[in-house]
Amino acid sequence: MPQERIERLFSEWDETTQKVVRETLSLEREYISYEKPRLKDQLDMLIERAAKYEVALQDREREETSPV
Amino acid sequence: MKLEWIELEGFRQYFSRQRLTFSKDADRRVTVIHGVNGAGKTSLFLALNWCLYGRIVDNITIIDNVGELVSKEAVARTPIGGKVQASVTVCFLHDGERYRIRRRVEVMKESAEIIVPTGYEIATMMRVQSDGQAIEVRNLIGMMNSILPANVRQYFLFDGEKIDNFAKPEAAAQVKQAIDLVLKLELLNRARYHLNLAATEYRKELKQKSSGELRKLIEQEEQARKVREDTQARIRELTDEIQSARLKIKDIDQKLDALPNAQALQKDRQRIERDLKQRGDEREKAVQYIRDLATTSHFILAQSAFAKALGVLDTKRERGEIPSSIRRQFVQDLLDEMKCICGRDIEAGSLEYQRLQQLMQKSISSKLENEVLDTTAALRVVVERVQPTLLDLRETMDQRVKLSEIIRDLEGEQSDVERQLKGSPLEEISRLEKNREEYRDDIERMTLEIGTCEGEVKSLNARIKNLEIEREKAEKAEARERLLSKKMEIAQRAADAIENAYQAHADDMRQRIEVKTKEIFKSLVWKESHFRDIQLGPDFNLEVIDRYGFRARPELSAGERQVLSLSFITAMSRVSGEEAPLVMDTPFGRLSSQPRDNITRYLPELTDQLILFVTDEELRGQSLENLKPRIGAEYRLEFNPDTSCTTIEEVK
Repeated sequence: MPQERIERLFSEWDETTQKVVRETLSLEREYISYEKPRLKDQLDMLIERAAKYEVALQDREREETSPV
Repeated sequence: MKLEWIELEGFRQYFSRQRLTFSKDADRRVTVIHGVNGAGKTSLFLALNWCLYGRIVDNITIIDNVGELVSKEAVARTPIGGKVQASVTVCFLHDGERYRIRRRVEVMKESAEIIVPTGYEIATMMRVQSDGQAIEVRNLIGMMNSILPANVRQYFLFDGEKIDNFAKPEAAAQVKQAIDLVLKLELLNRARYHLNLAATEYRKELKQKSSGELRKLIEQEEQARKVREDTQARIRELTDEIQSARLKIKDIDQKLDALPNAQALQKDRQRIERDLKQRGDEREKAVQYIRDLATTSHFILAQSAFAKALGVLDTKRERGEIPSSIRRQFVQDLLDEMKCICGRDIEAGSLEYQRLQQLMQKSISSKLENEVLDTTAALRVVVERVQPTLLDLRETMDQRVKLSEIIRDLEGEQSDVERQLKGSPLEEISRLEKNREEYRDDIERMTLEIGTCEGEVKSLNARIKNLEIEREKAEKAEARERLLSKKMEIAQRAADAIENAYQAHADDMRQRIEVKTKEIFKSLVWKESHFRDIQLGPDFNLEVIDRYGFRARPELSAGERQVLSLSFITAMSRVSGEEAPLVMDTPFGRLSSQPRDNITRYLPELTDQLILFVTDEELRGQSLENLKPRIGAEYRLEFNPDTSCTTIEEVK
């Protein structure tokens, strides 16, 4: 329930932002009892995944709209 | 999270295996565990905490010395040098799944008084599937953090006598921390911090890498391609013009052939041209042959070194040094057998023996000898090739010189014919020849230009190829830059999203907790008319306002502070929606009957599962009557003074 409520806070944002926030929170939740968790690599991985998806999406849109 | 049962064995005063099943019934959600002082309530409470979170979780010490966890009775019964185990198993439900955690620790009895741990505590977490199959959960801490984090645990599993902290005047930081943790604000805070950090690092990296190199390279490549295209077009144009000029010459030749006064000279010219072509081809072949020889016969340059080496080797061979007249193996065999070639025995140190030793020193190994012979043979082949190759080269160069002379002569003849035709008294012949000469000059000029253009194209091809390689590299680098830029944008966007949501969410949560705390406090406290309001300001000070409008917190009794803290904790639990049991050790110790009656009446309504560790004095009379309809399980901790062990007995 609290999880859903937190996710609702970001419902106005675009899909990628929502996904990155959701995954980051899930990662933070796993390490919440650690004082200084090392999340750099895992965070980078999930951001990169989202970035690659957006770049591919942009490329596809560009291909579709460019004159033949 | 809903607790199902706990099982202890060899744990403090719980020597024999003991199991306690908690009530999960929605109507009868209370489990009461009675025990006199020292019977084992706190040990049972500790067992629950230790099993779920271990000895130390992120600097929260649950137990200092695991040796304290082992049953003294078990230690007493174990011989010196023997090992003793303490174990606790807890089973609970969460999000429709059943989990089981077993934690154990082992000690060795060194002497009658000294026990030492044999290793670290061992914990196993299993997820029990609907078909009864159990799968081990690898990351126990991570899983518990997602169920009920260790640092949130203290707000759900607590010592009732110590919870008045939140009601103390200096408790604002604690109140804020509790709200942050239970309401997941800490999660948002950390996520925002880490995302901002990631965005900053991406920005820094991007700044270092970004160069605009690709754009420059594309421009350069486009320019080179344009120049190549223009040059190639020029070559085509010149080729066409040459072709056209040749046709014109052919046309003129036909006209000259038809003129009787020019026929003889035309025939001469045609012969000269045929000869020129043939000789030209021959000279071209000779030049090519010289070129090939020059590139494949570099060994000629080392001729003197080869000859010298061969001379040295031949001299040695002539002197009989190579191959050696003394076979090393033969001498070695004689020495090994200590026999002379004639069959006589040889004694060590004798003259014969010394002679053989000298021969041995003079001999060389057969491997080295073979290498020397092979090298000699190879050198001879090379040296033998030098002379014919040099001869061949000289002959071809001579031929080229001769051909050049012939060509020069033929060109002279050709010029002569042209001069005669040009100087012909017949105007038509003279004019035609002049035109012919002009066309020929044009062809020459254009052929030269084509040569220059082809050279340019060749060099442009090489440049374009290099630019393509560089562009591909730059494209890869730019793709990385583009991805980095996107990563920066996404990380920043996500951090901003959390930033925007955080404050509104935090204020909303604070206000909800304020309202809920007030509501619960009013229902639990016995002087409800004396207290008018509860405030939880932006500074996170939990304040009680009395009927006169004054701040009443400094004057609260210990019992009232406990009620305020309990109200705050249960309010957080309700607002967070966190499904977790409320486990309270000696919750009513400081309370007088009125607030105790109120708490026992309302507290079961505030949580889905309530587990109380109480003394008989804490829970009796009206308080017990209030709870009774909600009690689903009731136990008594029976302490046996003869064995100092406790058993858990269910109260029927």
